[in-house]
Amino acid sequence: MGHEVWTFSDYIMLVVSGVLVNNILLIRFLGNCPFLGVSKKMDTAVGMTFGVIFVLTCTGPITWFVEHYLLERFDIVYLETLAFILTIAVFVQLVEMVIKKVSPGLYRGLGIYLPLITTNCCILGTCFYNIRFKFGFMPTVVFSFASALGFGLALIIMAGIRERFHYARIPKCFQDTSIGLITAGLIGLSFFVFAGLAK
Amino acid sequence: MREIVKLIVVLTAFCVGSAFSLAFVKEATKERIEYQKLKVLVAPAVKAVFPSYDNDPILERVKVKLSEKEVINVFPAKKAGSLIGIAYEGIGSGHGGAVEVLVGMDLNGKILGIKVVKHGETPGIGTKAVESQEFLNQFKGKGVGSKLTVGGDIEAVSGATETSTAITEAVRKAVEMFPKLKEKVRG
Amino acid sequence: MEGSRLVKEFTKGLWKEIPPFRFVLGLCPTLACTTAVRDGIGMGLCLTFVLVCSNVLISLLRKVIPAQVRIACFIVVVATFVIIVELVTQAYFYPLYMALGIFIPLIVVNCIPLGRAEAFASKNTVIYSLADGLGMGLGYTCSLTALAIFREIFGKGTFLYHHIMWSGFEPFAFLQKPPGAFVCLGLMLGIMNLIGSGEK
Repeated sequence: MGHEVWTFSDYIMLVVSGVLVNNILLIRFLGNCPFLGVSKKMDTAVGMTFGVIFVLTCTGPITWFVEHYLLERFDIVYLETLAFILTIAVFVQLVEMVIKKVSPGLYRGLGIYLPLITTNCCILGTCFYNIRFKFGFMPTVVFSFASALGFGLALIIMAGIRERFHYARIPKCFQDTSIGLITAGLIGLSFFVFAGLAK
Repeated sequence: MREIVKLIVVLTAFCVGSAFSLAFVKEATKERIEYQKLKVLVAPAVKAVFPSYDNDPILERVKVKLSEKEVINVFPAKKAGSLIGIAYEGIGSGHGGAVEVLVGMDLNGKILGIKVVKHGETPGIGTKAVESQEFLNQFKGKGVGSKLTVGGDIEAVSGATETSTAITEAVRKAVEMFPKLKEKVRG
Repeated sequence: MEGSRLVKEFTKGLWKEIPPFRFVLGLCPTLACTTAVRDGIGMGLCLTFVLVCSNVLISLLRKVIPAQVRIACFIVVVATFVIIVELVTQAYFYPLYMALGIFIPLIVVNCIPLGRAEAFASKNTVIYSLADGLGMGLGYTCSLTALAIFREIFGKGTFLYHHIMWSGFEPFAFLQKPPGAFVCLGLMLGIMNLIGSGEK
């Protein structure tokens, strides 16, 4: 999946692949824990989406730098897991401090999601994929953004559907998480329609 | 102030402890991990280049230092405990980058078999040479002293000249290394 | 009296608070690593190892870790054990390592080790933390294995990579694909809730 020269249409295909064909959440299974917790209401879903898009688009390239200019330079690539999670945690901590100071309003709306995002597997997972797929710098940025977009898309669709569950009569044992998972599966099935659009 | 110092000391202690234990485990598992990776990458090729053997060439691999930075893995094939041949990689430059070829040699410097292990050649065009058993079999029996060039002892696959040349180059370079490597493995 | 508390902490992870069914944590590997029984068991055991080790270490050091940086310390501890597991599986269980892929390093952000560190190990003694980690880890392994058994037998027709179904059997490939994982887990969760509510 990593090739030497990237044309504009390659980037478009990368976005299509990240958002639809290989949706990070429904197909790649990353980001499920917050997914079920936060998708019950539309406004929490939207808040989480913005948080993930911001954090992932930044930490994707940052961890790319850490890998190529730090870990490879000193031949400590096996510490990748540790280095990446610390980078992400530090970044999120800094962002939280900045937002708190600069815009208390934004902090009230978005700030509570930030610690949750640190342990969101889709952030760390996408950072790993950037390395596994041997992406250069620009593709890393685009892929990180596309994955976050895909996460947000799945989340918002889910929230839209789950808000309507209030009006449905669901058997008690299937309520909440159970029906959420089944719904996620059916949404994922509909995403299969996109398979073949891109690699 | 004391609070902050305590925080920094504790965090640093954790990081140092972590780094030490990880470095230790890494050293302890290094050989084994290399073995596993080679098994996946190279084992089928080793099977293909030696007619028969009864040891584990990858487990018994010998690391030979070619120069300051270059170390090469030599895989010895044995029958009933005695060495019958060695396999190692030669590299040629092809259309899509390096072409790595595993060459199996017997102890007299004759090629037992070759197999392309890694390449970036164009599917359908260059890969014709990579996959053609006819082309690859040409190398069997040749060795030290043969004219390992396209046009010399080797005939290229038509339509895949560049790749054929790259493979031939890789084999030629491997054969050139043979005397030195045989010494190191035998000795 | 101590003995019975020990048993209680151990067994709660095996049914009453079993992840990921009752404690909805650690969903990502549950969905991704259960296409085959070997992978499910492997993943569960890797997580159990990390969980037990980090619980024990964090419990040992709980008096020393300052509250403000505790999350960072927990992360360093968990990540260290995760890397150890990564290296060991690479060295001795290479096919499993290839199958689980990035989900081994992703154990570091799996809510179970960090969650138990915060909720339990940092506040309890070593022996109870050990029991808690072992119970939760084994419970998780059982959940993964149960799901994997279902998905492998009906989705692929094999068990531990040996064909066991009759030759005309058409595997229900849906179960092997991502949507199938979600639906399967959701149904299993629903059934468990049903059984659970029956108990009350």
